[in-house]
Amino acid sequence: MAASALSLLDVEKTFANGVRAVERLSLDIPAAQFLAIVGPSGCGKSTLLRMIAGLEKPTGGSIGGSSSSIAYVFQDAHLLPWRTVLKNVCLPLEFAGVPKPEREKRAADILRSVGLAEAMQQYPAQLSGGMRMRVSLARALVTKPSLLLLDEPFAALDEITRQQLDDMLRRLWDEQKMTVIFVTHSIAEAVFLAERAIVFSKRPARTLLDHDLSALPRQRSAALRGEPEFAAQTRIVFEALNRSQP
Amino acid sequence: MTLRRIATAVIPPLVPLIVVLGAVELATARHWVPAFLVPRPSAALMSLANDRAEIWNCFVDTAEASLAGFALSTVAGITIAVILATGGWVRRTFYPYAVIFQTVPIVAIAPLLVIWFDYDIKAVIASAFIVSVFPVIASALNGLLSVDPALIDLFRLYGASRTATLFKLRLPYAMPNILTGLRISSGAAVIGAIVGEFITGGGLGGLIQVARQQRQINKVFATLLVASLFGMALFGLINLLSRLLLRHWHASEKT
Repeated sequence: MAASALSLLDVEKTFANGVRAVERLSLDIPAAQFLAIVGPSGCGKSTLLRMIAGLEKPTGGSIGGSSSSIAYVFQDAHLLPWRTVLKNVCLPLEFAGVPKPEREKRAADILRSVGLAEAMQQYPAQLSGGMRMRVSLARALVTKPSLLLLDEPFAALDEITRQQLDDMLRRLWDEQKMTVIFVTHSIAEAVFLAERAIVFSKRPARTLLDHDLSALPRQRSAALRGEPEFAAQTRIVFEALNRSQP
Repeated sequence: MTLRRIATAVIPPLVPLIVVLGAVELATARHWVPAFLVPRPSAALMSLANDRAEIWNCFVDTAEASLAGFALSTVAGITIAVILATGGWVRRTFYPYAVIFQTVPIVAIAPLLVIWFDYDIKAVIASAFIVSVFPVIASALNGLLSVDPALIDLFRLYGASRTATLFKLRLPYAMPNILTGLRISSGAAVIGAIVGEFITGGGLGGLIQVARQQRQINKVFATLLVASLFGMALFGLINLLSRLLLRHWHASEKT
Protein backbone atom coordinates (compact mmCIF):
# COMPACT_ATOMS: atom_id res chain seq x y z
CA MET A 1 0.00 0.00 0.00
CA ALA A 2 1.13 3.50 -0.80
CA ALA A 3 2.36 5.88 1.88
CA SER A 4 -0.53 7.47 3.72
CA ALA A 5 -1.37 11.04 2.91
CA LEU A 6 -3.37 11.58 6.01
CA SER A 7 -3.92 9.72 9.22
CA LEU A 8 -6.50 10.51 11.83
CA LEU A 9 -6.14 9.02 15.29
CA ASP A 10 -9.01 9.11 17.77
CA VAL A 11 -10.12 12.49 16.48
CA GLU A 12 -12.87 14.11 18.49
CA LYS A 13 -14.72 17.35 18.20
CA THR A 14 -17.05 18.77 20.80
CA PHE A 15 -18.29 22.30 20.19
CA ALA A 16 -18.46 24.94 22.91
CA ASN A 17 -22.22 24.46 23.10
CA GLY A 18 -21.74 20.81 24.06
CA VAL A 19 -22.65 19.33 20.68
CA ARG A 20 -20.42 16.40 19.92
CA ALA A 21 -19.82 16.29 16.19
CA VAL A 22 -17.13 13.63 15.87
CA GLU A 23 -16.28 10.83 18.32
CA ARG A 24 -13.01 8.86 18.43
CA LEU A 25 -12.56 8.65 14.70
CA SER A 26 -9.52 6.94 13.26
CA LEU A 27 -8.83 6.82 9.57
CA ASP A 28 -5.88 6.21 7.35
CA ILE A 29 -5.95 7.61 3.86
CA PRO A 30 -3.26 6.52 1.40
CA ALA A 31 -1.78 9.06 -0.98
CA ALA A 32 -3.65 9.57 -4.26
CA GLN A 33 -6.76 7.80 -3.00
CA PHE A 34 -10.22 9.01 -3.92
CA LEU A 35 -12.26 8.69 -0.74
CA ALA A 36 -15.95 9.42 -0.47
CA ILE A 37 -17.60 10.02 2.87
CA VAL A 38 -21.34 9.41 2.97
CA GLY A 39 -23.57 10.11 5.91
CA PRO A 40 -26.85 11.58 7.03
CA SER A 41 -27.23 15.36 7.09
CA GLY A 42 -25.62 17.04 10.04
CA CYS A 43 -23.59 13.97 11.01
CA GLY A 44 -20.31 15.82 11.37
CA LYS A 45 -18.88 15.18 7.89
CA SER A 46 -18.29 18.85 7.25
CA THR A 47 -16.73 19.33 10.66
CA LEU A 48 -14.31 16.52 9.92
CA LEU A 49 -13.38 18.13 6.62
CA ARG A 50 -12.86 21.48 8.29
CA MET A 51 -10.57 19.88 10.87
CA ILE A 52 -8.52 18.22 8.15
CA ALA A 53 -8.24 21.59 6.41
CA GLY A 54 -7.11 23.21 9.66
CA LEU A 55 -10.10 25.55 9.79
CA GLU A 56 -11.22 23.92 13.00
CA LYS A 57 -9.16 22.38 15.80
CA PRO A 58 -10.04 18.90 17.07
CA THR A 59 -10.80 18.75 20.79
CA GLY A 60 -9.14 15.35 21.03
CA GLY A 61 -6.88 13.01 19.09
CA SER A 62 -4.55 13.98 16.32
CA ILE A 63 -4.52 14.58 12.60
CA GLY A 64 -1.22 13.78 10.97
CA GLY A 65 -0.28 14.06 7.36
CA SER A 66 2.34 15.11 4.92
CA SER A 67 -0.08 17.17 2.86
CA SER A 68 1.54 20.50 2.41
CA SER A 69 -0.99 21.94 0.00
CA ILE A 70 -4.69 21.62 0.67
CA ALA A 71 -7.53 22.93 -1.44
CA TYR A 72 -11.14 23.14 -0.36
CA VAL A 73 -14.33 23.27 -2.40
CA PHE A 74 -17.48 24.39 -0.63
CA GLN A 75 -21.07 23.47 -1.22
CA ASP A 76 -21.60 26.68 -3.16
CA ALA A 77 -19.09 28.11 -5.58
CA HIS A 78 -18.18 31.11 -3.36
CA LEU A 79 -16.48 33.13 -6.05
CA LEU A 80 -15.53 36.79 -5.77
CA PRO A 81 -18.30 38.39 -7.82
CA TRP A 82 -16.24 41.48 -8.68
CA ARG A 83 -13.55 39.43 -10.39
CA THR A 84 -13.68 37.80 -13.78
CA VAL A 85 -13.54 34.01 -13.98
CA LEU A 86 -9.85 34.16 -14.85
CA LYS A 87 -9.03 36.51 -11.96
CA ASN A 88 -10.99 34.30 -9.56
CA VAL A 89 -8.88 31.33 -10.49
CA CYS A 90 -5.71 33.44 -10.17
CA LEU A 91 -6.54 34.30 -6.55
CA PRO A 92 -4.80 31.42 -4.71
CA LEU A 93 -1.70 31.97 -6.83
CA GLU A 94 -1.58 35.62 -5.78
CA PHE A 95 -1.19 34.55 -2.17
CA ALA A 96 1.45 32.04 -3.20
CA GLY A 97 3.43 34.88 -4.77
CA VAL A 98 3.33 33.55 -8.32
CA PRO A 99 4.16 36.33 -10.83
CA LYS A 100 1.23 37.64 -12.86
CA PRO A 101 2.00 36.25 -16.34
CA GLU A 102 2.50 32.75 -14.91
CA ARG A 103 -0.62 33.08 -12.75
CA GLU A 104 -2.75 33.88 -15.73
CA LYS A 105 -1.22 31.16 -17.84
CA ARG A 106 -1.82 28.50 -15.19
CA ALA A 107 -5.34 29.74 -14.52
CA ALA A 108 -6.15 29.69 -18.24
CA ASP A 109 -4.77 26.15 -18.57
CA ILE A 110 -6.89 24.78 -15.75
CA LEU A 111 -9.97 26.65 -16.99
CA ARG A 112 -9.54 25.00 -20.38
CA SER A 113 -9.39 21.59 -18.73
CA VAL A 114 -12.70 22.20 -16.95
CA GLY A 115 -14.27 23.33 -20.22
CA LEU A 116 -14.44 27.04 -19.52
CA ALA A 117 -12.08 28.37 -22.17
CA GLU A 118 -14.80 30.62 -23.54
CA ALA A 119 -15.88 32.11 -20.20
CA MET A 120 -12.59 33.43 -18.82
CA GLN A 121 -13.43 37.11 -19.16
CA GLN A 122 -16.97 36.75 -17.85
CA TYR A 123 -18.15 37.62 -14.38
CA PRO A 124 -19.67 35.01 -12.04
CA ALA A 125 -23.09 36.66 -12.28
CA GLN A 126 -23.15 35.82 -16.00
CA LEU A 127 -22.61 32.09 -15.43
CA SER A 128 -24.93 29.19 -14.68
CA GLY A 129 -24.68 27.32 -11.37
CA GLY A 130 -22.80 24.46 -12.99
CA MET A 131 -20.30 26.81 -14.62
CA ARG A 132 -19.72 28.64 -11.35
CA MET A 133 -18.97 25.30 -9.68
CA ARG A 134 -16.46 24.52 -12.42
CA VAL A 135 -14.74 27.83 -11.71
CA SER A 136 -14.67 26.94 -8.02
CA LEU A 137 -13.12 23.60 -8.86
CA ALA A 138 -10.57 25.25 -11.15
CA ARG A 139 -9.66 27.67 -8.39
CA ALA A 140 -9.03 24.74 -6.06
CA LEU A 141 -6.97 22.82 -8.60
CA VAL A 142 -4.84 25.70 -9.87
CA THR A 143 -2.43 25.38 -6.92
CA LYS A 144 -1.92 21.69 -7.81
CA PRO A 145 -2.93 20.59 -4.32
CA SER A 146 -1.81 17.24 -2.95
CA LEU A 147 -5.05 17.01 -0.99
CA LEU A 148 -8.41 18.15 -2.34
CA LEU A 149 -11.34 18.41 0.06
CA LEU A 150 -14.85 18.72 -1.34
CA ASP A 151 -17.83 19.38 0.90
CA GLU A 152 -20.99 18.34 -0.99
CA PRO A 153 -19.81 20.46 -3.90
CA PHE A 154 -22.49 19.54 -6.44
CA ALA A 155 -25.44 19.16 -4.08
CA ALA A 156 -27.17 22.30 -5.32
CA LEU A 157 -26.97 21.37 -9.01
CA ASP A 158 -29.42 19.55 -11.22
CA GLU A 159 -28.83 15.85 -11.86
CA ILE A 160 -27.47 16.18 -15.40
CA THR A 161 -25.01 18.93 -14.54
CA ARG A 162 -24.02 16.98 -11.49
CA GLN A 163 -23.16 13.88 -13.48
CA GLN A 164 -21.13 15.95 -15.94
CA LEU A 165 -19.14 17.44 -13.09
CA ASP A 166 -18.68 14.01 -11.50
CA ASP A 167 -17.21 12.71 -14.77
CA MET A 168 -14.95 15.71 -14.93
CA LEU A 169 -13.77 15.40 -11.35
CA ARG A 170 -12.95 11.74 -11.79
CA ARG A 171 -10.90 12.58 -14.90
CA LEU A 172 -9.06 15.41 -13.14
CA TRP A 173 -8.23 13.15 -10.21
CA ASP A 174 -6.81 10.61 -12.64
CA GLU A 175 -4.64 13.28 -14.27
CA GLN A 176 -3.43 15.11 -11.19
CA LYS A 177 -2.65 12.17 -8.87
CA MET A 178 -3.91 13.89 -5.76
CA THR A 179 -5.68 12.62 -2.67
CA VAL A 180 -9.35 13.49 -2.73
CA ILE A 181 -11.83 13.45 0.12
CA PHE A 182 -15.34 13.94 -1.17
CA VAL A 183 -18.20 14.44 1.24
CA THR A 184 -21.65 13.77 -0.14
CA HIS A 185 -25.04 12.49 0.81
CA SER A 186 -25.56 10.90 -2.58
CA ILE A 187 -24.71 7.19 -2.57
CA ALA A 188 -24.61 6.93 -6.35
CA GLU A 189 -22.22 9.83 -6.57
CA ALA A 190 -19.94 8.33 -3.93
CA VAL A 191 -19.85 4.92 -5.64
CA PHE A 192 -19.29 6.39 -9.08
CA LEU A 193 -16.46 8.68 -8.02
CA ALA A 194 -14.50 6.98 -5.31
CA GLU A 195 -12.07 4.12 -4.82
CA ARG A 196 -13.25 3.81 -1.26
CA ALA A 197 -16.45 4.81 0.48
CA ILE A 198 -16.89 5.42 4.17
CA VAL A 199 -20.33 5.58 5.73
CA PHE A 200 -20.78 7.68 8.82
CA SER A 201 -23.38 7.25 11.53
CA LYS A 202 -25.59 10.02 12.79
CA ARG A 203 -23.93 12.54 15.05
CA PRO A 204 -21.48 12.03 16.65
CA ALA A 205 -19.87 10.62 13.53
CA ARG A 206 -18.47 7.10 13.73
CA THR A 207 -17.48 4.81 10.88
CA LEU A 208 -20.21 2.28 10.01
CA LEU A 209 -18.71 1.00 6.80
CA ASP A 210 -15.33 1.27 5.17
CA HIS A 211 -15.81 -0.15 1.72
CA ASP A 212 -13.34 -0.72 -1.08
CA LEU A 213 -14.67 0.25 -4.51
CA SER A 214 -11.66 -0.62 -6.61
CA ALA A 215 -13.61 -3.60 -7.95
CA LEU A 216 -15.22 -1.11 -10.30
CA PRO A 217 -13.19 -0.24 -13.39
CA ARG A 218 -10.58 2.48 -13.04
CA GLN A 219 -11.84 4.22 -16.17
CA ARG A 220 -15.38 5.13 -15.28
CA SER A 221 -17.64 6.30 -18.02
CA ALA A 222 -21.14 7.63 -17.62
CA ALA A 223 -22.46 4.24 -18.82
CA LEU A 224 -21.17 2.61 -15.63
CA ARG A 225 -24.14 4.02 -13.79
CA GLY A 226 -26.35 1.50 -15.62
CA GLU A 227 -24.18 -1.59 -14.96
CA PRO A 228 -25.26 -4.32 -12.49
CA GLU A 229 -21.83 -4.10 -10.87
CA PHE A 230 -22.50 -0.46 -10.03
CA ALA A 231 -25.93 -1.33 -8.63
CA ALA A 232 -24.41 -4.03 -6.42
CA GLN A 233 -21.85 -1.66 -4.94
CA THR A 234 -24.48 1.02 -4.44
CA ARG A 235 -26.61 -1.49 -2.56
CA ILE A 236 -23.82 -2.27 -0.08
CA VAL A 237 -23.37 1.39 0.76
CA PHE A 238 -27.10 1.97 0.85
CA GLU A 239 -27.65 -0.80 3.39
CA ALA A 240 -24.93 0.53 5.66
CA LEU A 241 -26.41 4.01 5.48
CA ASN A 242 -29.85 2.61 6.26
CA ARG A 243 -28.50 0.99 9.39
CA SER A 244 -27.35 4.44 10.51
CA GLN A 245 -30.92 5.69 10.80
CA PRO A 246 -33.17 3.01 12.27
CA MET B 1 -32.09 55.94 -29.68
CA THR B 2 -29.79 57.60 -27.16
CA LEU B 3 -31.72 60.84 -27.55
CA ARG B 4 -34.84 58.91 -26.68
CA ARG B 5 -33.13 57.41 -23.61
CA ILE B 6 -32.05 60.84 -22.42
CA ALA B 7 -35.56 62.14 -22.97
CA THR B 8 -37.12 59.31 -20.96
CA ALA B 9 -34.66 60.01 -18.14
CA VAL B 10 -35.00 63.80 -18.10
CA ILE B 11 -38.61 64.57 -18.93
CA PRO B 12 -40.48 62.70 -16.12
CA PRO B 13 -38.80 64.52 -13.18
CA LEU B 14 -39.23 67.86 -15.00
CA VAL B 15 -43.00 67.52 -15.17
CA PRO B 16 -43.77 67.96 -11.43
CA LEU B 17 -41.17 70.77 -11.26
CA ILE B 18 -42.86 72.73 -14.04
CA VAL B 19 -46.32 72.10 -12.64
CA VAL B 20 -45.36 73.19 -9.09
CA LEU B 21 -43.37 76.22 -10.23
CA GLY B 22 -46.21 77.24 -12.54
CA ALA B 23 -48.72 76.98 -9.69
CA VAL B 24 -46.49 78.99 -7.34
CA GLU B 25 -45.89 81.59 -10.05
CA LEU B 26 -49.63 81.90 -10.60
CA ALA B 27 -50.40 82.08 -6.87
CA THR B 28 -47.83 84.80 -6.26
CA ALA B 29 -48.64 86.80 -9.40
CA ARG B 30 -52.31 86.90 -8.37
CA HIS B 31 -51.27 87.82 -4.78
CA TRP B 32 -52.98 84.77 -3.32
CA VAL B 33 -49.80 84.30 -1.28
CA PRO B 34 -47.93 87.35 0.03
CA ALA B 35 -44.57 87.90 -1.66
CA PHE B 36 -42.60 88.13 1.60
CA LEU B 37 -43.53 84.50 2.38
CA VAL B 38 -42.93 82.86 -0.95
CA PRO B 39 -41.07 84.54 -3.79
CA ARG B 40 -42.23 84.37 -7.37
CA PRO B 41 -40.14 81.67 -9.05
CA SER B 42 -39.40 84.07 -11.89
CA ALA B 43 -38.17 86.68 -9.39
CA ALA B 44 -35.95 84.13 -7.65
CA LEU B 45 -34.47 83.18 -11.01
CA MET B 46 -33.95 86.85 -11.80
CA SER B 47 -32.10 87.21 -8.52
CA LEU B 48 -29.97 84.22 -9.47
CA ALA B 49 -29.05 86.01 -12.68
CA ASN B 50 -28.52 89.46 -11.12
CA ASP B 51 -26.50 88.28 -8.12
CA ARG B 52 -24.65 85.56 -10.00
CA ALA B 53 -21.17 86.92 -9.23
CA GLU B 54 -21.82 87.09 -5.49
CA ILE B 55 -23.61 83.72 -5.42
CA TRP B 56 -20.86 82.10 -7.48
CA ASN B 57 -18.12 83.32 -5.11
CA CYS B 58 -20.03 82.03 -2.11
CA PHE B 59 -20.77 78.78 -3.91
CA VAL B 60 -17.06 78.16 -4.49
CA ASP B 61 -16.39 78.53 -0.75
CA THR B 62 -19.24 76.22 0.20
CA ALA B 63 -18.28 73.68 -2.45
CA GLU B 64 -14.70 73.63 -1.23
CA ALA B 65 -15.70 73.15 2.39
CA SER B 66 -18.33 70.47 1.65
CA LEU B 67 -16.02 68.53 -0.63
CA ALA B 68 -13.22 68.69 1.93
CA GLY B 69 -15.60 67.57 4.69
CA PHE B 70 -17.00 64.83 2.51
CA ALA B 71 -13.54 63.60 1.54
CA LEU B 72 -12.54 63.53 5.20
CA SER B 73 -15.71 61.62 6.05
CA THR B 74 -15.04 59.08 3.34
CA VAL B 75 -11.47 58.38 4.43
CA ALA B 76 -12.08 58.62 8.18
CA GLY B 77 -15.42 56.79 8.00
CA ILE B 78 -14.01 53.80 6.14
CA THR B 79 -10.92 53.71 8.36
CA ILE B 80 -13.00 53.82 11.53
CA ALA B 81 -15.27 51.09 10.16
CA VAL B 82 -12.27 48.89 9.36
CA ILE B 83 -11.00 49.34 12.92
CA LEU B 84 -14.42 48.66 14.42
CA ALA B 85 -14.75 45.54 12.27
CA THR B 86 -11.61 43.97 13.73
CA GLY B 87 -13.40 42.53 16.72
CA GLY B 88 -16.38 42.42 19.02
CA TRP B 89 -14.55 44.05 21.90
CA VAL B 90 -13.30 46.96 19.82
CA ARG B 91 -16.81 47.45 18.54
CA ARG B 92 -18.44 47.33 21.97
CA THR B 93 -15.85 49.73 23.35
CA PHE B 94 -15.83 52.39 20.63
CA TYR B 95 -18.97 52.13 18.52
CA PRO B 96 -21.13 54.05 21.01
CA TYR B 97 -18.76 57.00 20.61
CA ALA B 98 -19.03 56.86 16.84
CA VAL B 99 -22.79 57.16 17.24
CA ILE B 100 -22.22 60.55 18.88
CA PHE B 101 -21.45 61.95 15.43
CA GLN B 102 -24.97 61.03 14.44
CA THR B 103 -26.73 62.27 17.55
CA VAL B 104 -24.87 65.50 18.30
CA PRO B 105 -27.04 68.54 17.47
CA ILE B 106 -24.81 70.24 14.94
CA VAL B 107 -26.64 73.54 15.26
CA ALA B 108 -25.72 73.61 18.94
CA ILE B 109 -22.06 72.79 18.56
CA ALA B 110 -21.36 74.85 15.43
CA PRO B 111 -20.64 77.92 17.62
CA LEU B 112 -18.09 75.84 19.52
CA LEU B 113 -16.41 74.88 16.27
CA VAL B 114 -15.84 78.58 15.65
CA ILE B 115 -14.12 78.85 19.02
CA TRP B 116 -11.90 75.87 18.24
CA PHE B 117 -11.15 76.61 14.61
CA ASP B 118 -11.74 80.36 14.41
CA TYR B 119 -13.98 82.03 11.81
CA ASP B 120 -12.34 80.04 9.12
CA ILE B 121 -13.10 77.45 6.44
CA LYS B 122 -11.73 74.88 8.91
CA ALA B 123 -14.77 75.35 11.14
CA VAL B 124 -17.03 74.84 8.12
CA ILE B 125 -15.14 71.71 7.06
CA ALA B 126 -15.41 70.37 10.62
CA SER B 127 -19.15 70.95 10.58
CA ALA B 128 -19.54 69.21 7.22
CA PHE B 129 -17.41 66.32 8.48
CA ILE B 130 -19.32 65.81 11.74
CA VAL B 131 -22.64 65.62 9.93
CA SER B 132 -21.47 63.34 7.14
CA VAL B 133 -19.11 60.83 8.76
CA PHE B 134 -21.57 58.57 10.53
CA PRO B 135 -23.44 57.26 7.48
CA VAL B 136 -20.10 56.13 6.08
CA ILE B 137 -19.07 54.41 9.32
CA ALA B 138 -22.39 52.65 9.80
CA SER B 139 -22.79 51.43 6.24
CA ALA B 140 -19.15 50.43 5.75
CA LEU B 141 -19.18 48.54 9.06
CA ASN B 142 -22.34 46.73 8.04
CA GLY B 143 -20.70 45.67 4.77
CA LEU B 144 -17.43 44.63 6.40
CA LEU B 145 -19.26 42.48 8.93
CA SER B 146 -21.45 40.70 6.40
CA VAL B 147 -18.61 39.13 4.41
CA ASP B 148 -19.40 35.53 3.49
CA PRO B 149 -17.76 33.35 6.22
CA ALA B 150 -16.87 30.70 3.63
CA LEU B 151 -14.80 33.27 1.74
CA ILE B 152 -13.02 34.23 4.94
CA ASP B 153 -12.25 30.52 5.47
CA LEU B 154 -10.99 30.32 1.92
CA PHE B 155 -8.62 33.25 2.44
CA ARG B 156 -7.38 31.68 5.70
CA LEU B 157 -6.78 28.41 3.90
CA TYR B 158 -4.64 30.16 1.30
CA GLY B 159 -2.66 31.86 4.03
CA ALA B 160 -3.77 35.37 3.01
CA SER B 161 -2.45 38.13 5.26
CA ARG B 162 -4.83 40.45 7.10
CA THR B 163 -3.97 43.25 4.70
CA ALA B 164 -4.61 41.07 1.66
CA THR B 165 -7.91 39.91 3.16
CA LEU B 166 -8.89 43.53 3.77
CA PHE B 167 -8.10 44.77 0.28
CA LYS B 168 -9.01 41.71 -1.75
CA LEU B 169 -12.04 40.57 0.17
CA ARG B 170 -13.49 42.77 2.89
CA LEU B 171 -13.41 46.17 1.23
CA PRO B 172 -14.65 45.03 -2.18
CA TYR B 173 -17.38 43.04 -0.44
CA ALA B 174 -18.42 46.12 1.52
CA MET B 175 -18.31 48.40 -1.53
CA PRO B 176 -22.07 48.43 -2.26
CA ASN B 177 -22.73 49.37 1.38
CA ILE B 178 -19.98 51.98 1.37
CA LEU B 179 -21.48 53.59 -1.73
CA THR B 180 -24.89 53.73 -0.07
CA GLY B 181 -23.26 55.47 2.88
CA LEU B 182 -21.55 57.93 0.55
CA ARG B 183 -24.85 58.79 -1.14
CA ILE B 184 -26.35 59.80 2.20
CA SER B 185 -23.14 61.40 3.36
CA SER B 186 -22.68 63.59 0.26
CA GLY B 187 -25.92 65.47 0.83
CA ALA B 188 -25.29 65.67 4.56
CA ALA B 189 -21.87 67.25 3.95
CA VAL B 190 -23.44 70.14 2.01
CA ILE B 191 -25.99 70.70 4.77
CA GLY B 192 -23.25 70.54 7.41
CA ALA B 193 -21.18 73.11 5.54
CA ILE B 194 -24.11 75.51 5.24
CA VAL B 195 -24.92 75.16 8.95
CA GLY B 196 -21.27 75.91 9.71
CA GLU B 197 -21.44 78.96 7.48
CA PHE B 198 -24.44 80.29 9.36
CA ILE B 199 -21.99 80.83 12.20
CA THR B 200 -18.83 81.80 10.34
CA GLY B 201 -20.72 84.02 7.92
CA GLY B 202 -19.02 82.85 4.71
CA GLY B 203 -20.23 80.89 1.71
CA LEU B 204 -23.81 80.16 0.69
CA GLY B 205 -24.80 79.76 4.36
CA GLY B 206 -23.58 83.25 5.19
CA LEU B 207 -25.27 84.63 2.09
CA ILE B 208 -28.62 83.05 3.04
CA GLN B 209 -28.28 84.48 6.54
CA VAL B 210 -27.62 88.01 5.31
CA ALA B 211 -30.29 87.91 2.60
CA ARG B 212 -32.82 86.65 5.11
CA GLN B 213 -32.02 89.45 7.56
CA GLN B 214 -32.42 91.95 4.72
CA ARG B 215 -35.71 90.32 3.74
CA GLN B 216 -34.38 89.56 0.26
CA ILE B 217 -36.40 86.39 -0.02
CA ASN B 218 -35.73 86.07 -3.75
CA LYS B 219 -32.03 85.87 -3.04
CA VAL B 220 -32.59 83.34 -0.23
CA PHE B 221 -34.40 81.07 -2.65
CA ALA B 222 -31.88 81.62 -5.44
CA THR B 223 -29.11 80.60 -3.03
CA LEU B 224 -31.08 77.62 -1.74
CA LEU B 225 -31.54 76.47 -5.31
CA VAL B 226 -27.78 76.57 -5.91
CA ALA B 227 -27.10 74.68 -2.67
CA SER B 228 -29.64 71.98 -3.55
CA LEU B 229 -28.37 71.62 -7.09
CA PHE B 230 -24.87 71.19 -5.73
CA GLY B 231 -26.05 68.44 -3.36
CA MET B 232 -27.80 66.73 -6.26
CA ALA B 233 -24.71 66.98 -8.45
CA LEU B 234 -22.64 65.29 -5.73
CA PHE B 235 -25.28 62.58 -5.42
CA GLY B 236 -25.18 62.07 -9.18
CA LEU B 237 -21.42 61.76 -9.06
CA ILE B 238 -21.64 59.00 -6.44
CA ASN B 239 -24.22 57.22 -8.58
CA LEU B 240 -21.84 57.36 -11.52
CA LEU B 241 -19.02 56.00 -9.38
CA SER B 242 -21.29 53.24 -8.13
CA ARG B 243 -22.21 52.32 -11.68
CA LEU B 244 -18.55 52.14 -12.69
CA LEU B 245 -17.53 50.05 -9.69
CA LEU B 246 -20.44 47.66 -9.38
CA ARG B 247 -21.89 47.22 -12.86
CA HIS B 248 -20.34 43.81 -13.47
CA TRP B 249 -21.37 42.15 -10.30
CA HIS B 250 -23.87 43.80 -8.04
CA ALA B 251 -27.60 43.40 -8.56
CA SER B 252 -28.21 47.07 -7.73
CA GLU B 253 -26.34 48.21 -10.84
CA LYS B 254 -27.60 45.70 -13.34
CA THR B 255 -29.93 46.85 -16.04
